[in-house]
Amino acid sequence: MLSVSQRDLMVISCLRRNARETLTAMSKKTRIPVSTLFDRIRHFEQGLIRKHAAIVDFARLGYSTRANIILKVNKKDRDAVRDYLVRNSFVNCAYKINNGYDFMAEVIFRNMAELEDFLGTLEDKFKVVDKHVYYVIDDIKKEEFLASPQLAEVLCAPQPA
Amino acid sequence: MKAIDLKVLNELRRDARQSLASISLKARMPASTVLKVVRRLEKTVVKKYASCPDYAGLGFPIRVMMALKADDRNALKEFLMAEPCVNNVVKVSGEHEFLVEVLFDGLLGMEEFLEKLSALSGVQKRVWHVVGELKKEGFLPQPLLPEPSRQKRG
Repeated sequence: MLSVSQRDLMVISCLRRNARETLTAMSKKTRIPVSTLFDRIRHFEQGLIRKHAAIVDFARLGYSTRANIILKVNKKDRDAVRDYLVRNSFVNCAYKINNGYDFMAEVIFRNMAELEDFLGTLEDKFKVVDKHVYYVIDDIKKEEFLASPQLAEVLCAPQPA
Repeated sequence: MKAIDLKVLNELRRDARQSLASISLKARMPASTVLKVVRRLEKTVVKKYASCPDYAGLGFPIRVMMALKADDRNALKEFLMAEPCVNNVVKVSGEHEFLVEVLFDGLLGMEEFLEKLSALSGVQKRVWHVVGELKKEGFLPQPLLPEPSRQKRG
């Protein structure tokens, strides 16, 4: 069940589409006063919004090798692996997962050799019980959930009796 | 990429909503230069600016990663593009074709999605539930990554 109002969801939807949108532009789209928008966004940034990020084409920066790694590690190494993934510069996203595995990490490198080095280091440092590596070919859809204003209206529509 | 571009990009990765004045202070360059760099980055490496919410806090506690493959790749891709609950889709190599992140407000929503998915021919999937987010869009910002080592001449 949605835990925010329709107005708040419209603001979040705007920020999902363009996190650098000005308050003035957002006010015209949402018909919410600029001062209210300012307050709501400050409020969101205390918890509901974790960060505003530039989504980058890493290949154009020279980092053309991307992979998603699913890991199952020895129970004793879980905390250490978690810390390693969080601190490692080449890990873009990391999640704790279930269904037989412990972590999923999106990693980004210049080339396959660096990726293989990373995997080798991981297996040297920790007891990796199992892993799957999915090499990323292309982004098809990126950060689209709640980016559509129509979805915001649908989600906030009164439920049928 | 120029060093000034990387400095500004680092700041935009750290907080995309910060003002030009704020970036100017942190990157130690005039705001007018920051503006030029931001515009340049938007034409080259920056795809979009997106706020990353706490989905559970918004009322979407079920977050699922799926590796998918189907007999008709295009039909699967069209389905994933059209579904509003699908946040991210990447094309991958290996035993599956797509890696997908999907969000739901409850188990019923997830079941409905899986039913629609199973209507596609020959769908094979692996599903993992996200128990916790440890890191999000963390590649950059950080200290500037070292340049690749250059080959010695002669």
